[in-house]
Amino acid sequence: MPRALVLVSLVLLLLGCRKDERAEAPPAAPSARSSSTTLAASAPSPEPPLGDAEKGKTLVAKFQCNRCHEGTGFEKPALDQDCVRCHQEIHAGTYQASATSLAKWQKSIVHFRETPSLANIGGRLRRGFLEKFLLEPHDVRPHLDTTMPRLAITPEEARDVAAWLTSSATPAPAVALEGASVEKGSALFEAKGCRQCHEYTGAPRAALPAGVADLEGKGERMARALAPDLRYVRERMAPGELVRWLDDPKAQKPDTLMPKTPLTPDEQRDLSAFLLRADLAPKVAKIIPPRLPVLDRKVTYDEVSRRVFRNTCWHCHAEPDYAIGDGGPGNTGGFGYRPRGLNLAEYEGIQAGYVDDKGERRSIFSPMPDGTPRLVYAMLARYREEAGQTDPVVRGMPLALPPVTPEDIQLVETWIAQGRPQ
Amino acid sequence: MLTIKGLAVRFALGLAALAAIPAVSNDAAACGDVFIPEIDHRIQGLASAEKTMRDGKIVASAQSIVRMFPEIRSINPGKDGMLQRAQRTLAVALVRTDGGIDLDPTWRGKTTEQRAKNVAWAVAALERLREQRKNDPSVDTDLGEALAKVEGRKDEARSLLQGLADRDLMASPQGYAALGRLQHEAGNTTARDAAVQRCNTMAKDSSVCQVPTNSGGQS
Ligand code: HEC
Ligand code: HEC
Ligand code: HEC
Ligand code: HEC
Repeated sequence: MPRALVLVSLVLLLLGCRKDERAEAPPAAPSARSSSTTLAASAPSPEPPLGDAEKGKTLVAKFQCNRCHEGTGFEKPALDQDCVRCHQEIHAGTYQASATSLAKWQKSIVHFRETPSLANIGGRLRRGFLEKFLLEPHDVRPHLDTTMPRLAITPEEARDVAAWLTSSATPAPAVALEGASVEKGSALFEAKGCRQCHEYTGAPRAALPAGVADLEGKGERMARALAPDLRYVRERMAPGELVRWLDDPKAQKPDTLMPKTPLTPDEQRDLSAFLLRADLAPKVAKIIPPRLPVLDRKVTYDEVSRRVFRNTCWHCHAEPDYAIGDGGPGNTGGFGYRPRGLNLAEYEGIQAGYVDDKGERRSIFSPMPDGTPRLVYAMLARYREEAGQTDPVVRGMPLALPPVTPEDIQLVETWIAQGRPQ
Repeated sequence: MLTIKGLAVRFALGLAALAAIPAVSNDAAACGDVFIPEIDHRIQGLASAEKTMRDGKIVASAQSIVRMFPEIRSINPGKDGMLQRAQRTLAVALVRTDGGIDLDPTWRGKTTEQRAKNVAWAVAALERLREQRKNDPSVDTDLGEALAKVEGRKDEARSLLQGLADRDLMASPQGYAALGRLQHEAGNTTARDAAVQRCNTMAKDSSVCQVPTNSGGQS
């Protein structure tokens, strides 16, 4: 409460300040709480208690964040460990392989081609958001198929990691949005072509101004893929950080793909008001499609393997024999997950089950309380996870990837019901 | 030239070829649409030997492994994944043919003695692998199938395989078939029939599930 008051007064004091004036906390003026509710809405909720950044650093190593992200404070891992760089090199044609193989893989690899770098992330995102996101990640980027995996991380660990990620950031000068106009911001958003890359779900969809290319389905894949849905800005960013970002994204993050758009300080504040305060329609939860009935026709292993296991799962649940022990994160462990010993690359491996929390081998066909085989349950859990319903027992699979289609789940279910024929 | 030691490279996910090692220039895709690393012909060769075996051509598969890995008979693969796998595939082939494969001029499978020796080699290879891969039912299944062919170790085989069946962790139809035969010999017809039934639902080729059904068996 006192803290919120300080913030409110601070904002009031800064009314009309130019954005580059430092907000060296002036003594809190005695309550001047005359002001409106919109003001309260823009005052960020207080950040949670600060975790232990040094511990957070060791946790970032434990969870191997650098296998998917740059800017973690750690070196890039070896190429054979780096899910993103290897796929990028294949697409860039710089990976050492024959032209035919490259061409083939370029067609098949669509996931883990880009992830947001975490460089100076504390200069943009709020620590409290990072902490919450690490515990319960959700899809932030509508044009990016890959999502942040739900890690095996405790609340305390998430707090420490958030502390580490924000430890070197310089806080932005606080900014007052008094007098800023949501309507003007909305018009600017359209006029400046922000929608070329960004969705802002919940707000009316902006048109693209004449002369701004529609990138939908075209090149420039990276920038669009990495542009967040701006509906989350209000959870993610404080007004000061937001204005600073809009002023010059590259000054905050040299490798960002967001271009600098010349904006006056007033325009920056209007845009910020639009992003932080526009009324939004409630979030539409992703649809959980109905489960399809078991098929009548015969389904063989070759078919399920080709469509599902070897197509998607195998990349994390590989055969460790060739790999000098590394069977991927879903088999021999990685990203902080315990080794589950689950090999989905071949028939015998699938029959041989997984290692449960007690270290016991168990069949992945064993029924869950509702009778669903665990393997199928994990794939259904991915749909629920995407719809915001985290399963307490089983992690949704495929991890960090879009759910398997209902038709493919049906295929796996049929195969299991038929006794898992070769 | 790539030596065995030079192969001690780490593959990502069991599929990655490394920039550190010059890739061989032929195509990586050797097996249908499956990604096989472009790193050593033998990895591709081994994968294709395994496919040959899955297609039921056991002898051809075993012989191609010995051609690719002439040292395979005497080597201890230790932690080398590819060699472990080559030995395992060969061991399973020998077990499924009762040791009856002529592998090279010095490694025959004609006489009863030669065959028994081959099965014993297979058992030793699988036991060594099991040391490296504890708690892996697919290795246990292969070992159980092998022990079922060794006089004096059938009880061990039966309890190993039945344990896997009870936990629904039997990795292959051949494992169920071996269990069926062992239970038949032990006069345990219910357990035999259950095993044979599982074998039949799993196997592509139900001839692998052949188990005597005359009541009482040898006991
Ligand atoms: C050394 C290179 C390399 C590394 C490292 C690598 N991959 Fe891949 N990945 C490939 C290749 C090559 C393919 C294409 C295989 C094919 O088409 O047969 C692929 C395909 C995939 C696919 C299926 C295609 C798609 O886009 O959905 C997924 C999923 C995948 N990889 C996930 C991962 C994950 C997760 C990691 C990190 C744990 C990873 N990969 C690390 C080389 C790599
Ligand atoms: C398997 C790959 C993978 C691993 C491992 C991983 N991440 Fe992520 N992470 C992603 C992807 C993909 C996204 C983008 C998700 C989105 O925007 O919807 C993401 C998003 C994030 C974001 C949000 C960034 C932004 O700008 O929106 C943060 C923060 C983050 N990850 C931190 C971490 C940390 C810290 C770790 C280790 C503790 C980690 N990640 C491990 C794949 C991964
Ligand atoms: C060419 C594509 C592109 C255009 C055009 C673009 N952005 Fe961005 N924007 C991005 C990308 C990519 C990011 C992610 C930054 C990063 O992590 O590097 C981003 C990040 C942001 C963020 C931070 C959001 C968050 O949740 O992290 C805001 C706010 C933002 N953009 C607003 C705008 C506004 C307002 C405009 C129009 C003036 C605009 N952007 C135009 C690509 C674009
Ligand atoms: C990006 C890597 C990745 C991909 C792709 C992936 N998995 Fe997993 N999988 C994991 C990890 C990591 C674990 C261990 C998770 C844990 O310990 O909670 C796991 C665990 C599992 C489990 C055991 C879950 C439990 O708690 O019982 C099942 C079943 C599973 N995966 C099925 C699949 C299937 C089916 C697919 C393909 C549709 C798939 N996975 C694709 C990484 C992956």
